[in-house]
Amino acid sequence: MRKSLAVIMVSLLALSLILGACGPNAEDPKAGEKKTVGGQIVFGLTGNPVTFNPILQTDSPSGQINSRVFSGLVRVNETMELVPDLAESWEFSPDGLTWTFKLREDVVWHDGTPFTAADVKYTYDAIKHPDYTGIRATDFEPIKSVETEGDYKVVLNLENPYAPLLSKLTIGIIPKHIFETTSIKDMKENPACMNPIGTGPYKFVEWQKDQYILLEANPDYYGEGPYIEKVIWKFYGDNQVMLAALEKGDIDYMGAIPPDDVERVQNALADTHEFKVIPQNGYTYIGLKQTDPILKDKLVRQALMYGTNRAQIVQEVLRGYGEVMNANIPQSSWAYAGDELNPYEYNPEKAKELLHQAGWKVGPDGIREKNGQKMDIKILTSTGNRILESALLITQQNWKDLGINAVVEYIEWSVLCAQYLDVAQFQAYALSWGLGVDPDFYLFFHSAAAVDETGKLVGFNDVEFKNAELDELLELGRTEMNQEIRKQIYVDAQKIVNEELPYVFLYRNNSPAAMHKKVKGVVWGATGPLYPEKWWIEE
Amino acid sequence: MIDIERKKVLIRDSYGGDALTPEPESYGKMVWRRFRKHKLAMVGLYILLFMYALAIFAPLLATQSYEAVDPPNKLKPPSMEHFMGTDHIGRDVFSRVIWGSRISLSVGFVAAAVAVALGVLIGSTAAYFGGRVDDMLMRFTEIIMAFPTFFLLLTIVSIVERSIFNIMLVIGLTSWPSLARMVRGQILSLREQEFTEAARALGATDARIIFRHILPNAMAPVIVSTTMRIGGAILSESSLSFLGLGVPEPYPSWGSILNAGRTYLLQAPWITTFPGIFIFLTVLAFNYVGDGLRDALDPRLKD
Amino acid sequence: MRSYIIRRILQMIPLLIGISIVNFTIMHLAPGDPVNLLVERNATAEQRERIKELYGLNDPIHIQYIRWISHVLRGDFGKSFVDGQSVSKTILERLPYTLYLNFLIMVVIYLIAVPVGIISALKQYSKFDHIMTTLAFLGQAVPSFWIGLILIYFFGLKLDWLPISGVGTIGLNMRTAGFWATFADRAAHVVMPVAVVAFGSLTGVARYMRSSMLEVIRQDYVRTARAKGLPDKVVIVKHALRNALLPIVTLLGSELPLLFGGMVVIESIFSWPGIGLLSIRAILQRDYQIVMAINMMGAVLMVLGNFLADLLYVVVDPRIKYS
Repeated sequence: MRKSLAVIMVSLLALSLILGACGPNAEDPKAGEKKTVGGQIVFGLTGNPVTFNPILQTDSPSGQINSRVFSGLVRVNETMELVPDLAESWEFSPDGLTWTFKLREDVVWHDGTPFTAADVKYTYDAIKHPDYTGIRATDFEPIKSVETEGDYKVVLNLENPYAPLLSKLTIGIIPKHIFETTSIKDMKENPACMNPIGTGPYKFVEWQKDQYILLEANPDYYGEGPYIEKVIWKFYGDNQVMLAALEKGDIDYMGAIPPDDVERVQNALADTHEFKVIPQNGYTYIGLKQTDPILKDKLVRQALMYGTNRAQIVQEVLRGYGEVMNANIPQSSWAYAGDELNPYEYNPEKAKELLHQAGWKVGPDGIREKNGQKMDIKILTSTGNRILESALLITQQNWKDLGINAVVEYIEWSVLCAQYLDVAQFQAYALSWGLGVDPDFYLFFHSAAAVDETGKLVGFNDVEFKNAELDELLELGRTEMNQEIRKQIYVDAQKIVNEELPYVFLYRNNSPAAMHKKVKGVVWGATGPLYPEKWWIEE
Repeated sequence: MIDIERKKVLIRDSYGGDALTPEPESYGKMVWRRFRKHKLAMVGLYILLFMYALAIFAPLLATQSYEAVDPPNKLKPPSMEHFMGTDHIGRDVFSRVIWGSRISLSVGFVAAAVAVALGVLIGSTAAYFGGRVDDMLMRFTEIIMAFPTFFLLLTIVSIVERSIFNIMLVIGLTSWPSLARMVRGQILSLREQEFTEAARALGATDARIIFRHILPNAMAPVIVSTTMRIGGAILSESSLSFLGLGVPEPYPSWGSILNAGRTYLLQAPWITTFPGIFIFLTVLAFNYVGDGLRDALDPRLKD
Repeated sequence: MRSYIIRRILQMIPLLIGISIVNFTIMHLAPGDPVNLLVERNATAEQRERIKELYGLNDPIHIQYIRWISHVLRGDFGKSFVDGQSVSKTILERLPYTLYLNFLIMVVIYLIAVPVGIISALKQYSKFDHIMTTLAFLGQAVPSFWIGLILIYFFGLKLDWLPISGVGTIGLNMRTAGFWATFADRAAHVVMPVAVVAFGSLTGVARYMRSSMLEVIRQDYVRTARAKGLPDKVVIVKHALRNALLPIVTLLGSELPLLFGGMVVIESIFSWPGIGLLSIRAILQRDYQIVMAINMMGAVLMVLGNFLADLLYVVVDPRIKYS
């Protein structure tokens, strides 16, 4: 996993939609059923949360807990639209530079203090503070200032119109009265980061590290519910053991069941568990350095796309629980370009032809060469992702069949970031992106998000993809506020990406999740079970 | 049961030859004669010979490439085509285990060699020079020794580039201190013994004494400890693999095959069973051989 | 005796300083800037500089070392870069679990290994000796994670006899379930991890006991005792055993540091919330402060363990005199 961004996005999502969506707008799924109060639900985690402060959070375990303890101004519903949460309503000024949010007046923090606009201002100002060490700073860069009008109105002043911003406001609001006692630099060390006070449906009770986390229902929650009395996360040192715990009945829910285990687990738990496929809002890819002598040729990049048996990866490695990606916006997004993209179906002959066309001829040792240069491609990747490892083994073999000497090198995550990705020094690398709700991908492929004069990476465009037409579309997409027009912009943008190929796009996985049938009222959104405060237990 | 005759054995200085034995046999021959008596050690020796044969002839024995994937044929049980079945990506487990013997045995051997080289160098230097040098080297040894070995190993492995060579090196680099102490102790005690005195009286230089007379004699416990260490290094590598810090794909070590297969412990037990048995047999064999050598090299044990 | 203790303590000081320097150096040789833990990946150079300045990461390494060691001397290992929590507190939270597990393991090992070692020695090369040698070696030769997972699937899942993870059932304690139910619950949780480690580590102690016993029964005074016609039992129990147990005492001391680092694999498999699980998580997250603290505490324990072992030696063996 490409953690930093993946994590921001995944946790953003987790925060707002995988588990957390709540509030008056959500429709009651089965109005006739009688909801019982009480009981408990147990989840499993393999990593410890890092912080229960949503603005510092970078990891998905923290996100799971934070999504229940905190709420943001807006949240995402099951169709991935942004709907009110702490904000009752909002409006944009005609020039798109002033955004006004009207807040709910019936919200109190878990410690009884009323929630006000000052908390919102404090949270956003903290993110914009120079000493802030979290990962949301870029998200909030377009905000010039945050103002409050009375206790229940917040005004955001923007530098320039910036459509994706609304989706960033899913971030949990933190209590000013608790955090203002520490400086922003020391925010991590505030006890509330370990003992959080939020406004969400569940209150934090205790965390025994590597044992369990316990939350209990917040009786003063402003929306419907919660019904389930206790929410518990148990910790496992190993994913395989966590899966065994699901089979044993120690935990009630597990997302991302490894594809190879699905059939067995499904058979074993057919009577007690409900299985649902949860599509990943993200994708796995091989980034290709656009300035590399071999990879700078578009024909070569297209050959790699044709020459990688991505359908087989999805079929065998993911066991069909996944989809081939042809560009960078997944099927679940409203901006997905669908049929308008070239599917690059596996065609080694075509790939060889393209390579030939590009001047790469097979040498005596079976490896292609051009002007005395051998066709060597080194793919860097991080350790620890079994599915990606398998996918790369297949890719490597596919590429070898084309006459390319492909080598995969496994590098420990932080080293991979520090020595290769952050300084944009590599030929090719394979990782995954987790995405946000908004389709904006300026930071990924805009030329201004590549490296600056000093060689420092500005955005996430570490492959240094530069395309004037795309730049223009991405700029437009950010400032345009009309969703229909934005969709067209992003479809066009995807077509460029699909044609020019900054990456070899591989797949996204649609991992099955299992939920115990005793848990009722679960709404399965596009990205997971939603509205946990509305679930109840029927033994 | 308790042999009164042992007193004789004790007196007899096996290193220096034995005046009481009418036909002096060479040291090597004597060790071998004693070693052969240790049945388990002989079994261990045969197992090791077998394993090393696998490693040496891996290219001839492996029926397929260790890295050739065949996804449609993944997780297939053992058959005539795949003696040990296939793994999660359709690779032939038999071929991987055979090639794995090369990697695992090298990891064990190189790691132990690095440890012995450093241990002997530092231990003998300290003993030879004594005084300041001895003090400094031994303090340094104590410092390294104080660290929890496996944790130190993990720490370093996690910060160096992940390669087979680095893994061997780091396992070796974290396990020399006890050897250094052992060598130094042996040399110091041997230095006081008569044969050293004799050599000195005959005008041998210090260096000559150390290398010709003392070191070979001090090596007995070192050899025993090294033998056991090779097995230990193979196990360490498998633990590293479990923690995601072992030999990287696509290279097969027994530990990495075992670890990759643990996800399929129930549905494809053959992936784990075979490398597991190979690790087990090899480590066991090294331990037996080490045990046999200890007895064979120990001058005090009954003949 | 007192002067011996004082001398030993004085000797420990340079040793501990050396340990702290090596420890600090290793962590700072790591490629990758610790500032990466603190800022977002696309932070600007100025942001990075600012954060580095705030955390003192720009100072020369010896200044950083002195700052670190002066805090360590006050028992403060600093704050984790990852979660901002006090490192000492984090480690102290975990320590009891590892101590608890290790204590049980040690008890089991010694209860089995000492008698086995003695009998093996007394009946050297007998069937019993061979079987025990083999069994002991068997345990040592199997990768513990493999055995651990097999046990989890077999006893935990197939037979459903034992819990597979953690220290105890959440919410089940003396208050809610009474003593015996709690005891049974905790015992059930600890069976598998203790079994796996004990099986794997019996060899060491058993072999040590065996050779120590062999050594002793060859000593003159044992022979003399036998020659005097004392019955075997008396000789063994009164003379041999006491002396043979002596070196085992030192083993106890040197096993202290096993607590640190020795349990990584087992704690990961059985989701045991101790130092081992903490340490592998810290290593993989590059949580330098925690890794340094665990290394440091492990090393200090080792030094103290050796010191204690030597003192114990003096206590149990009247022949040893220290000047």
